[in-house]
Amino acid sequence: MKRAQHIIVITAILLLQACVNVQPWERAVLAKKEMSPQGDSIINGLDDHIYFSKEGSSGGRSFGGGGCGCN
Amino acid sequence: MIARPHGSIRVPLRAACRTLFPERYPPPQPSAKFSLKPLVWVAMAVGLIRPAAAVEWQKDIAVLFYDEPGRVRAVEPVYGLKGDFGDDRWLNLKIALDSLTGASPNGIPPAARPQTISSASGSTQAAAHELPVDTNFKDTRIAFNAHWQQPVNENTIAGVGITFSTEYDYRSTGLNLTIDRAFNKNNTTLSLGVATSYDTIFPHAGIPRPLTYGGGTFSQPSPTDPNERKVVSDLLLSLSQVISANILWAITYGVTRANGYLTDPYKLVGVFYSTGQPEGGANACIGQPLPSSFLQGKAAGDPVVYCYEKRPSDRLQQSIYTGWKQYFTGDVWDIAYRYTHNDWGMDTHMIDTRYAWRLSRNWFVRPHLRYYQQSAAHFYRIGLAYGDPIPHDASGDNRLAKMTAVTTGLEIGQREASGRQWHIALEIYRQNWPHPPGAIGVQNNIDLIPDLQSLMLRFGMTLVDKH
Repeated sequence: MKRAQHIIVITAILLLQACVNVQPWERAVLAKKEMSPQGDSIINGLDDHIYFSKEGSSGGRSFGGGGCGCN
Repeated sequence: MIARPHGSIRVPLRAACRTLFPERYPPPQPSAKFSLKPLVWVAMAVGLIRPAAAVEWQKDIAVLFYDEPGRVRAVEPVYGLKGDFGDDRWLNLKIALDSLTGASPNGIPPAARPQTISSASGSTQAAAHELPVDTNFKDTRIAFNAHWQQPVNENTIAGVGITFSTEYDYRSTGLNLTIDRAFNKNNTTLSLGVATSYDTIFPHAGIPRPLTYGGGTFSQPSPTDPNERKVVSDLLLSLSQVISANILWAITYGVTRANGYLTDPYKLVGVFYSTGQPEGGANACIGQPLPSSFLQGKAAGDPVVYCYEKRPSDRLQQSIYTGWKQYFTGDVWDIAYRYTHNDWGMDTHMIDTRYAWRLSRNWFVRPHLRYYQQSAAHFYRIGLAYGDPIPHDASGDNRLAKMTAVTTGLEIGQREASGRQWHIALEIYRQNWPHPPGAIGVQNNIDLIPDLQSLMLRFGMTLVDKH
């Protein structure tokens, strides 16, 4: 069952990328700073540092900004 | 400076002027202004990067003020420098200073009677029904990151980064490597990243013996070592997909392994009197029966002694993070979800959404909502029962307890076409803990983990220098 779910997810991802065909000249919006997939790294770093010191899990999006003795 | 085309002519001219007219052209004074650019020169000197014909520098300045009323207060200024060397070559530098003062919970819950707790970090007193907090909490942390990336072939970009942070009793040094490969006319990007950090902790009073008596009537055992170490390794595998000319989607699978000293040397776990327990047993972390006079008059749930906590020396976390970003005629909506599972028995869910609403050509407001929930670690205890055998691991740190947290915020800012912008955000962070399992006797009538509300005020500014 679990294996079937994995196959469905992977197939869906492959189908999705196969049917997307945005041309370079259509990327004006995607090139905007506010559309960056990683977001604002400075703000994300500040937020992640707070949540890292207050919660039992962290990370998942990108690498942390150095260790911390706060957790 | 490295991009100015006439820089090589200006320098000898200025030197000649100083020689001919020393009064009019005094020697340069050392500047007090802080800059990360010397690091760029070092990187160039060792051949890591080479000067480009034109470099666009983006400078980011941000300050975060964090306040938990009656507890911790923090101020964190950050300075970031991002250099675009052209041809997809980027240098990112960031330095952050984090200053903390105030009081932090020490792992002991409120009790029906006043408590006095002595530990390596000092003595703490709490009135009845009041949460004991370590009032000696004070630290300053400096963190530095550098990351360089450049193409290695037509569709592949590689990156290398270093991280370093130091504080009063903690130091961390790390290295990370990333590789991004674009497919499908750049509509799909696969990324692989690995990182490792080596951390050292060196409390002023040494590392306490875990699950031994932390303070009170008996003498405190000597610390085991002056310092301890841990190694944290990460692996991230990510897929970014262009869905349409206005929509981006990304999904990341991550594995984090932490190994070494994962205990918090300042956190305690309480031992509470429990009627019906055999006196003369292993007595939790005390190791020997206490004299009966010591227990006289105690009701079930009253504190007996306080011990240093102990966590497993290994933790494996897996995570799935997925984000969706969509552009609507000037507005940008993004939503992200993260699930994590670790072998300490914690499952967490996080959902975070922001909507940047463009009010005019330059002005925007951005509401923010974040929800987080976690289950408890298997060794989390609100307290140990007197008479119980010594557990293998135990911690009273409420960050390991079952919890929900909600962040609500609003940001307002101004953005110019040149890339310059500023923004200010006010956020409220609320943490809520249900009544924990394992409470004994009178503990069931006490709010053992009081809810917490924190305020965050953040200011940020971006400047772009084009040469």
